[in-house]
Amino acid sequence: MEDSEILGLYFSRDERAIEETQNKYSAYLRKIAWNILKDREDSRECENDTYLKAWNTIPPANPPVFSAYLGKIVRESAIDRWRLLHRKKRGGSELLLSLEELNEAVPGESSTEEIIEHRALAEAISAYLHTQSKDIRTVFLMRYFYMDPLSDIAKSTGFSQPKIKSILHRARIGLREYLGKEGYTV
Amino acid sequence: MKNEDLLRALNDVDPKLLQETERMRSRGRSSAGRSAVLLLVAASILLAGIAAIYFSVRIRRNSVGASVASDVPTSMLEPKETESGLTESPETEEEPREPKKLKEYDGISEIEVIIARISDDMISCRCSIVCDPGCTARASLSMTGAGDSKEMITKSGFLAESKTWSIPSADSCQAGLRVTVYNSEGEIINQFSKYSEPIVLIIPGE
Repeated sequence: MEDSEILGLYFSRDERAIEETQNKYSAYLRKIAWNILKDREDSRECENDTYLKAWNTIPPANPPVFSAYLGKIVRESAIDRWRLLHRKKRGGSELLLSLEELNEAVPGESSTEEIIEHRALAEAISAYLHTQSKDIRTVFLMRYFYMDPLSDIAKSTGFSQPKIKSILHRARIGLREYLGKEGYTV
Repeated sequence: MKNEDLLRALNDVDPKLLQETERMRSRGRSSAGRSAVLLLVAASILLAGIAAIYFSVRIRRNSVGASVASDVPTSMLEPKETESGLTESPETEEEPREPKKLKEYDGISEIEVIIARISDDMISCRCSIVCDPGCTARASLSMTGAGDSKEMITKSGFLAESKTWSIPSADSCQAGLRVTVYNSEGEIINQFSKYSEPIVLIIPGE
């Protein structure tokens, strides 16, 4: 089914929307979560969280690129879960865990200032990536958005792993310089 | 700014960039899929090749048996009804060979000795030998109660012969094949005897 048709189901509040999303994007979403969590069960939970969040946010959201929208949700969910698990594994204090749990009770995610800062930074990163060649930006996003292992990136791009490491290194240096010019302290 | 801020900010990069990256990723997945399919096809071809070689060897060996069979009257291959009413089937001759035992015969990759009653007063024995590459076998086929034997030698590593004897005056009889195996330098590398299954000539109590 085409993305536009799936989105149509969301807009008409048809529950088949979730089923169709799952049919089309389950493997994609699970792969993103797996790259971050390396745990089958946790990855599946993040995938399910993504369907729920998509259901709750569309409408009003009307993502121009549905796969990217879902990818962002699952990535965010997986990073949050990873952080929580990581704190627990490190023997995080009950205070930290309590605060983490209370996050759910706090309305809104961040202050307006934080949201604006966050968006500005995202735009700066996007602008920097647009100045780079297609190869560089795809390698960069494969690694830092999708968290793909170097071996997977090598398979997708046909580059050797040393070359990928070199591309990533130069991209990080370039991003640092770019953000510095934009007034960010990195 | 922490690297965590960067990590989070990446979540809101231009969706078109993500779409472009996603295309590249899926291309990698499909090429990985293609590689897997190619690997599978290559493995299948290899297996088919091995199977073809195996069966061609089997067919070649069977053709040795077939030439022997052509020497033997067809009645030898037909089930015979004994006086007790039991069927004495030549299938007993065609019992599955025991390849493990063949391993014991150095220089010989396949050997078969068969005995069968072909008429009221005649018995036929047949044997076939397939030597290992480079080996030659000399064999002597005889039968219990028979006065003579047949001397044979493999040609191009193969041997398939048969001999007919009159039924001896005994309750049962058995064919025996005495084999001497030579290597490519003419040295004897093995000597052994191979016997057929015994054949009952007089039904007990008759």
